[in-house]
Amino acid sequence: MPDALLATAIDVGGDTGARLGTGLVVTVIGMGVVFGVLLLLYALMVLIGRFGGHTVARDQPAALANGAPPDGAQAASAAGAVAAEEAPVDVVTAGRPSRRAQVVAAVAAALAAAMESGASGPAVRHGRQTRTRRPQMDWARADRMELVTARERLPRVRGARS
Amino acid sequence: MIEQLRLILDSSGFAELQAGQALMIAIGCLLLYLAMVRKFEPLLLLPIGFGVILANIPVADLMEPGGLLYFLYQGVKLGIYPPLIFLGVGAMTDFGPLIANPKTFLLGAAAQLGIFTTLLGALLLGFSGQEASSIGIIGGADGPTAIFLTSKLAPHLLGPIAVAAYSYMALVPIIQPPIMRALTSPAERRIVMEQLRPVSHRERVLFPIIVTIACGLIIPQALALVGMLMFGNLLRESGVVERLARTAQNELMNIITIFLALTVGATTKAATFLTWQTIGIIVLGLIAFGFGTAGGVLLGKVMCKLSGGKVNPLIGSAGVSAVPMAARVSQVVGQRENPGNFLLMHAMGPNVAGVIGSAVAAGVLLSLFG
Repeated sequence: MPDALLATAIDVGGDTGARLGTGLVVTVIGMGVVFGVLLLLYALMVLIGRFGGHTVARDQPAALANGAPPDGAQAASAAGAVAAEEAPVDVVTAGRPSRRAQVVAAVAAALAAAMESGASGPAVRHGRQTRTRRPQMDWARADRMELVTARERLPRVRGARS
Repeated sequence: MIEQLRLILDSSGFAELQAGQALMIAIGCLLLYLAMVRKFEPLLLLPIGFGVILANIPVADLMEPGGLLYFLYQGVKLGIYPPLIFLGVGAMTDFGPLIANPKTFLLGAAAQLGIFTTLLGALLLGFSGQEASSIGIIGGADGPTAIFLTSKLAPHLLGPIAVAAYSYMALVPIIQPPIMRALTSPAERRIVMEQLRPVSHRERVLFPIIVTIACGLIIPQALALVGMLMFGNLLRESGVVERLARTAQNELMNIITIFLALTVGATTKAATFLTWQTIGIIVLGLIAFGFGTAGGVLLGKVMCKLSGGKVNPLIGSAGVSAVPMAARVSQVVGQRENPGNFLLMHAMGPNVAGVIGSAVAAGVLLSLFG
């Protein structure tokens, strides 16, 4: 950009024609500079990706998955946290994840949907596959556990049998 | 005794309360309602709304020299708070989607169209160059950038511009979808984009350093914003200063947000806020948002054509900063056409590029009109 342009503030002028002219010049220069700078950054990032981006960190899929859309400029930390909750979707779409990661993502999504949880909701980070000869036993055990915990949540009534 | 009671009544705020101040207090209550009940940007609208009330209670004079808010306001006036907010934003932001698909830098640039077209409109309406720049920057959909630029160029417009910027950011899910649907066909909205490649740790660390040096050398006026944004991101990505990154993301960010939003709200005194100029600013701000959205979507359409249909144009609208709200809008509008389509992470690329783009645009305006 010419030094003269940078050195002094633009005089807008008085009549409509002059203002229109000034506005058009500023628009062209402004958009030109914004595009120029971001084009340069684009080119630099392509170069870095080509020459320096081969080493993928070990924890990359997780990092990508947890790559919470930032909260915004306005300190929207709560919104960012919610966005972070949404991010596990990306485990499925972004990185050719393992079956285990898919299961974790699916369970997390189901939990979030079921509980309509916000930032403070539960987060599933790991999953463990269990092997039993009779898969229905797992369901039976889960059902029994639910009954037990439900009973614990009931208010105690004097004289009632436990 | 009655005389003493009268004395107390005469020195109370009721005796001095004017209609304009009462209206501003009502507006403050409306902002509180929007924040608490409608959940519109509550982290910002709540302190802004309360600041409006504080500033318009007569006699207390909290914004006059010597008042509490006057001292806190110096952080805005001297341009300290917005870069510190950017530090926190950088520490919270994952630039991975942008690094993985750097083409989306261009969408972030196109969405700045709203800034400059609105500037043109404001100039034609008779605003000065400095005022027009400050109004145009609302189109960047970036609160701290708008406050930073306005505090330098047109501090007398800080109240209406900040309120307009944050209000429209809260209304992004309402403003953007009609424009996005009007400019795209159902077939375009259904496009499923390829999955993003993984991004290496080296790229993540190099990114903030390169952006800082490049932007700093080209537009030094933008360095306060871009530099702090990238410094925060380096804290996060370096992995060696976790404590600092956590502080920037949480404590520092929250403290500055309280000071910034409260004092910005307190700039809306009845005498300066309740004017036709404010209405003009609010209308122009809406136009800026519309043009910014349209610019991003239109370039998205061009990229869609050039790439043979691999880019969903809807992600272009996310170029108007408003992180991550605008990216979510792209996701929602896309999923309405194709429920199996996940555009969120693709839209995060232009979304964070928009933050850099609007900071660069602010730097350009500062260099031209500062």
